[in-house]
Amino acid sequence: MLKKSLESFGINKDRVWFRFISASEGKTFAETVNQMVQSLKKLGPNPTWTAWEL
Amino acid sequence: MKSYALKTGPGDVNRALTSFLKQLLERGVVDAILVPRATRSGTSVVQALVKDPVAMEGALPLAPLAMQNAARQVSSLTVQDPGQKLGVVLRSCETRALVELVKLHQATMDNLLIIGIDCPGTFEPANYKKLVETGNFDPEQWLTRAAMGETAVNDTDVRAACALCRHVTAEHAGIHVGYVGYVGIDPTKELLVQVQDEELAGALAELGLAEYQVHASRDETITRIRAAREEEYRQQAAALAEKTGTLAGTTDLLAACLRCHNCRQACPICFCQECVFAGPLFKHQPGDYLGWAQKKGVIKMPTDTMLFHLTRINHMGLSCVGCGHCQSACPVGIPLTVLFRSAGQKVQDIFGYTPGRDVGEELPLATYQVSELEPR
Ligand code: SF4
Ligand code: SF4
Repeated sequence: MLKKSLESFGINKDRVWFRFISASEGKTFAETVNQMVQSLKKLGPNPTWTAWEL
Repeated sequence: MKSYALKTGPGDVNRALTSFLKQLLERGVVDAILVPRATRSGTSVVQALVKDPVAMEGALPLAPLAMQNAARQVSSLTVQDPGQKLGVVLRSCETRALVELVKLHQATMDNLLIIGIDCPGTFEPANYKKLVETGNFDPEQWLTRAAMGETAVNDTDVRAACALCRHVTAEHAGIHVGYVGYVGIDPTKELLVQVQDEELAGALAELGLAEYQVHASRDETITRIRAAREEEYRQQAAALAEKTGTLAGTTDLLAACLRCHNCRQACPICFCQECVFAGPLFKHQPGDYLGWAQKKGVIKMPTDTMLFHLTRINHMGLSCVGCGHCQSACPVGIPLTVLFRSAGQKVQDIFGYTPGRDVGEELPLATYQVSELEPR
């Protein structure tokens, strides 16, 4: 839902990640975070960070 | 469903309907009625709760003006059991918003008789006032033309949301009053009154209403109006999507937003007393603003306008009924109707959910399907 709404507002939905990881899956957690960091680095800084909104 | 004709006469349409409503009160079919009523000046029409049948005089149930979505008032009247049978005169966007409010536990329908009306559209309050003041508005001439889908008076047309609205008749009505579809139904001769329930039908027969054969032109006219408006909506939604496809486009669209929160205040679905934007969360420290300005070179004040709209669509998009009261309330003319209706549609589509369709249908976020628990 959130991703659809972000799209409606022209914001890249890939900046938000949803994953279900159980507390016992330490390895999966670490891997997912690494993947996420890599993907975000590829996307670069969020344009809202520098946008003036006017 | 049974259909009856309510006899009217030239200069008498609202009065005929008003005396019908008055009889419902007198006969105890309902104990009170919420109905649109002209203010003394005649330039506005507001919601009025009528207990005394005599006070029904002056009601204007068919006036093309809705200064707010009346579902809000029905919520005020029914959030706790009022202990009385209430009649409420509502148009489609109001009955659909009410259905959503019932699901959100902000209203009940248990002791409610919805008296639905055909609505080909309503004017912006300022335009209605001007039309009345300049003597350019003839209520009955308007009804007969609007009955064919011609809603504009000179160059003034109905609200943007209404010109894109496919709902002409009101859903969920116990009694429905119609006039759209001119051939066979001339509002200056008769109004169409339809009832679902046998007991109510009995009460109407006692009022001396004659049974009526609905002319096929009614459905044809409604279908024609719907198709034209759907097409218009598709075009406007596509044009807007071009803009909102990029962050820069959305920023442009919302750049003038003052974050006055009028849109939230006018929205029938935004019922939260403790809106996150009304609290301290977005009242930042003076130093924060200066810090952000330092970083970006310039910031818009007030801040967080984009976030405000994103939060709103995320909170209420599933239930947006497209009534457009957000846009009518916006002092800077942001095209909120199409923005929220189309963004809402996208989240509704995920669940195949149509707000206002069925009070028995659960809100998607208040229920789950077993398949959603499967690992993906
Ligand atoms: S009513 Fe208009 S200006 Fe006010 S907060 Fe809503 S969009 Fe912004
Ligand atoms: S967001 Fe606008 S169109 Fe949607 S329900 Fe609220 S006021 Fe009506």
